[in-house]
Amino acid sequence: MTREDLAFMSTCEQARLLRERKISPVELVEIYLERIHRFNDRLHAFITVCEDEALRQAKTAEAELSSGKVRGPLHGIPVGLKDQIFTKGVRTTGGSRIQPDFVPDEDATIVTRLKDAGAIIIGKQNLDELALGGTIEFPYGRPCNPWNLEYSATGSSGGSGVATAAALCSASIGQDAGGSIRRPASFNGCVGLRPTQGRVSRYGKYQAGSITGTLGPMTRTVEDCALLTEVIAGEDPRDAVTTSVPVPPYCKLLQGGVQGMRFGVLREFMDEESVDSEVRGTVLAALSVLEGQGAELRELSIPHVRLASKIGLAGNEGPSPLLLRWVRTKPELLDYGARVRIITNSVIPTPVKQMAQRAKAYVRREVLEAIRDVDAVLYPTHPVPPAPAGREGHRFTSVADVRDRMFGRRNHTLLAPLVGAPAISIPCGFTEKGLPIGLEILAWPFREDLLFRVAYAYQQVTDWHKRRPPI
Amino acid sequence: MRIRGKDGIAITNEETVLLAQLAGIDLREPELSDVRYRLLAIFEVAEEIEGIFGDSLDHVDPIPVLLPQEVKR
Repeated sequence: MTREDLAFMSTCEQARLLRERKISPVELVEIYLERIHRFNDRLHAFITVCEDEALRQAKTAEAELSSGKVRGPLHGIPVGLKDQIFTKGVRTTGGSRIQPDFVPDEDATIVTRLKDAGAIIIGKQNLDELALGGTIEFPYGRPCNPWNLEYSATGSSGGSGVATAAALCSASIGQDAGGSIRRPASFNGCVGLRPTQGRVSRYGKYQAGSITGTLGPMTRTVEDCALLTEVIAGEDPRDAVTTSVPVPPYCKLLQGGVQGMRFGVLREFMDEESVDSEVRGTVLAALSVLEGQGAELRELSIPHVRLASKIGLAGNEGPSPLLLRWVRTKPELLDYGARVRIITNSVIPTPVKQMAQRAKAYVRREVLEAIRDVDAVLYPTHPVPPAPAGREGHRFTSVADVRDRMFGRRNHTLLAPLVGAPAISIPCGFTEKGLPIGLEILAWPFREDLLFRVAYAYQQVTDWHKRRPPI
Repeated sequence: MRIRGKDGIAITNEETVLLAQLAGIDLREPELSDVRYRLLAIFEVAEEIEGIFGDSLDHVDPIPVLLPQEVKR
């Protein structure tokens, strides 16, 4: 087995080999540090690499294994974090120049849980500034798609998607308010989960201003995603949105198969007019695979899901006081894209927000009613393939420009946050140009177990997730 | 909701600057035009939402998180 084979190995397999002492935590950390040194100048996946601390932790983990101590299921596993998540003693830039040397004095809850499970934090990953999306000039370099460096890695968890897909770490944690985990997972060819709102603590991160922002794993396999979710999920007294709904043993529930399961195929997100033909064909082929495994496909129509991006934009809660303070006092330190988004969100009149927020609650009820009789809903994660880099951050020059770029295409990933439901993106194929395509699966709130079961069944009979980017 | 000028939905640069001032933000070009276009698009959305849902939104609470009864299946 080569060092590259070890780097691309699944987290679950690495964890098993670590426990059996067939590989060592130091060896694994060194492999990833070497890859970061080799590729990060091109990929811009990491902002900060915790080289010394990761090696120190790896040596501790190795000593513990030697004495028979296993901290938890991630013992010795190198994990990367979107640099929006607070890490005690490690600078947290938020992908911004606004306070580049900010060093939190405590860990986010999710970081504590990862460390308690034995994970080693290998570094902090690049993102759209303050996780707002639409960054034009990335202060730490634009994350590049490992399948073609000229193409978009998208965001806002772009660095996390790139680092995971290119095996610069074993797994990553991103954040998703409107698709910021699932779209980079789709574009870069990895698995990304947006958990149910309230499933994972949000305590200890830059809050871009939206209550819908949810932390979640980005991994190379579905099994890894289930494992990390088991570790990070659960009630947190420091985040009032989290709930006491028990966290199931996701890894033990993976193998039920899809025989007899009912899947809704969302007509509004599969139509020929709005979905690219390559994406549509690839997702239809993925649906056939699941049908071949015994699942029942039903067409589902919920016309108002076409409003998801409009409702999300008009009904956003506005910027946090911190972001507002920064745009008032230090606007020159913010990228143009972040500045304009913060200002726009600050000046949307309350009656408009109120109407959009009511529409959101109305459509949420409609969607929950419509999906009551299916186990999951399936559609492309994004209706078009990755575009050449640099097209997402944009200065609008007309209202029509806003309509074209801000609405429509974002409907797919904005459905889950609109509903509060969990959704996962998994690789399901490639375009002719060799760029990944993602299948999104959405389930009833707190039914991440169903997502994992469906996605795992798919990965058992396909090999898209095993392909390696040509970096 | 009607946010209209003589040529349809409208907000001027001056009005956009005033809105920003109310939030304590000094808004100038090139951000000013960009923000104004975004606002206009959002006002269109508000009209569209009102046209689609009308009075049915009167009895909906705009609660941003899932309600316990919504989680029950």
